[in-house]
Amino acid sequence: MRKNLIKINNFKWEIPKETNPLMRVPGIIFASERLISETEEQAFTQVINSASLPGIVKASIAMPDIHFGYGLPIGGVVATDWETGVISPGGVGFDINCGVRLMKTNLFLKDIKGKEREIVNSLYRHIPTGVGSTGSLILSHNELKEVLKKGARWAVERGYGSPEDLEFIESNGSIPDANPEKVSTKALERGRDQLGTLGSGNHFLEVQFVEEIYDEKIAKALGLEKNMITVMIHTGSRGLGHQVATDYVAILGNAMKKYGINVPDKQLACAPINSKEGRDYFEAMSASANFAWANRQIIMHWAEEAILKALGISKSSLGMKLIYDVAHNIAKKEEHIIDGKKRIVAVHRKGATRAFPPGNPEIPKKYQEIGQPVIIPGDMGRYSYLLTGVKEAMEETFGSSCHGAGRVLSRHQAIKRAQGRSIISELEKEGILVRASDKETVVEEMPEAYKDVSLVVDSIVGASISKKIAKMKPIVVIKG
Amino acid sequence: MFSVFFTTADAGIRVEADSLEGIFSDSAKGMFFLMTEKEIINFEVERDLYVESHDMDFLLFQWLSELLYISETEKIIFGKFDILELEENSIKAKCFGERLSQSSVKRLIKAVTLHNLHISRHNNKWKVEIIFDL
Repeated sequence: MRKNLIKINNFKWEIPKETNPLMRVPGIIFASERLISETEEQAFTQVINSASLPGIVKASIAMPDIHFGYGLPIGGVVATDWETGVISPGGVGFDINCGVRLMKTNLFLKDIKGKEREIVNSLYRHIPTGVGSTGSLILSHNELKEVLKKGARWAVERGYGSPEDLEFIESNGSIPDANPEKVSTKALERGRDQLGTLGSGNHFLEVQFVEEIYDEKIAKALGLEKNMITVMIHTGSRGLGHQVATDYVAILGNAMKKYGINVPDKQLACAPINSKEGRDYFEAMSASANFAWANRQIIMHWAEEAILKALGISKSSLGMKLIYDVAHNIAKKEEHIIDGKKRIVAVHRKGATRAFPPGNPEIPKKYQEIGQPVIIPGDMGRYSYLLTGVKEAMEETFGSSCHGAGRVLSRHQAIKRAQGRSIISELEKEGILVRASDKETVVEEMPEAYKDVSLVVDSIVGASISKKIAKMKPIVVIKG
Repeated sequence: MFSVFFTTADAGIRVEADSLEGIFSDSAKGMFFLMTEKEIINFEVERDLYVESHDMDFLLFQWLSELLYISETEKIIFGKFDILELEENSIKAKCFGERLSQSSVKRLIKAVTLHNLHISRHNNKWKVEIIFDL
């Protein structure tokens, strides 16, 4: 498949529509030559497979962090016509609304020097992490349905964070189309004790500092300064979202015959958006997305409490403020201009982040002149980035950007590479304290298991899809 | 018989058996091995399971997904499966396992994927490959 790639420019590649008779549109990949050369062959096949989805418009798109997933590749963006197209759980992923939020504080590097151990221990005590982690919030099915309906607002109404946080969350932390009645009892059962939990794998909470600022004006508008302490949370909808995705892959897989749909990969099971099955999935997926926003809202609140306790300072001295919260596994109903005409589409972003430009009505008033913040986590040993949306992304990628570094080593390769080493001690020497419920997770997630996220960000900037604002380096990390 | 393999982001199992029943039983064993990295030999818990689907590949996907659901909500890891009935669209089985402690789970399986999941038969051997979302 790689041989079918045509270089459009240094950061844009095309897989022509003629490559495969199943393709309804071409494939477009935004990446440097180096990242393209490091991408697995199967990921290109997945770009081609995704191009076969009925109702797909413009192109099957992939971001520079493209890698082999299932259904869409990770880093895939597909928009389908809202009236005539399909919706696919394989275009969203199992961890619905896996996403990232970034907070700033009033503190600087010097303010927490020597107190890192207290901070990591306090965070670890306050926030449930790890495989099968359950929280202190055990909800009845009826209460859980309220969470699914209201999202982050549910958490704010119960004292987690403040009402002004909601403005700084994608979709204000609550998609109105959410319908808890479309979420199975099994999914509710999996979610009832998982609200306010981080989970395991690549999910994390980091205390970081701003190491570098690339755009002073925008950083100032966001309230960021060099050496300022920030906090980043990466988690999703936990078992509830995984179950919703599993349920609907089976339901839509069964319905395809009825609608005369054939897809080259069963994981791309889909149904017309305008069908009962398609609508049900959209409403259940939106409800799961709301659960994830409530989850990150609650974890943010506990992170604030944990840091306050560790440092023994007042809430106003800490001054923790939400900069933004973005989803990177989701399908959204959005209006885009395609071939000069306004069209409503379902934008599937799987391992891709919404990145709307200045002036877009969907982004907070405070950010109208600078564009939507786009949060790109890296690995726990190097750095993460903050970008903002630009107008070119609306034309090229349905207002989407990359989502992270992407693995370069399998978990097994990482374990082999780490033999005889203590990754935790190595990171400590670099000034990064890590606590995790399982040492093996730290090994599987070690920095060299990931691509250097700066390569991904440089490709995004090179392709004019987002603007680089700041780089944050981790100091304290908790993991599952 | 199963073997574990790793993709860049996830992991999977390759299963080979003399019968379709063996495919369902060994796939489940493989999934719990991937999760715990140990053989489950203590069968203190027993669950009856009945799963339906529209074809055999989806049935395997739903069978494993159902076991994952029970494992997560009831905190059980399974190691032995008596397949009582297996049709094109349904499976009935008795599943045996042990209570799960957090330390016995090495790796969270978020979900079973359908990517490349296709049960095939070659020279009286049944084969399938399953990738899990980790």
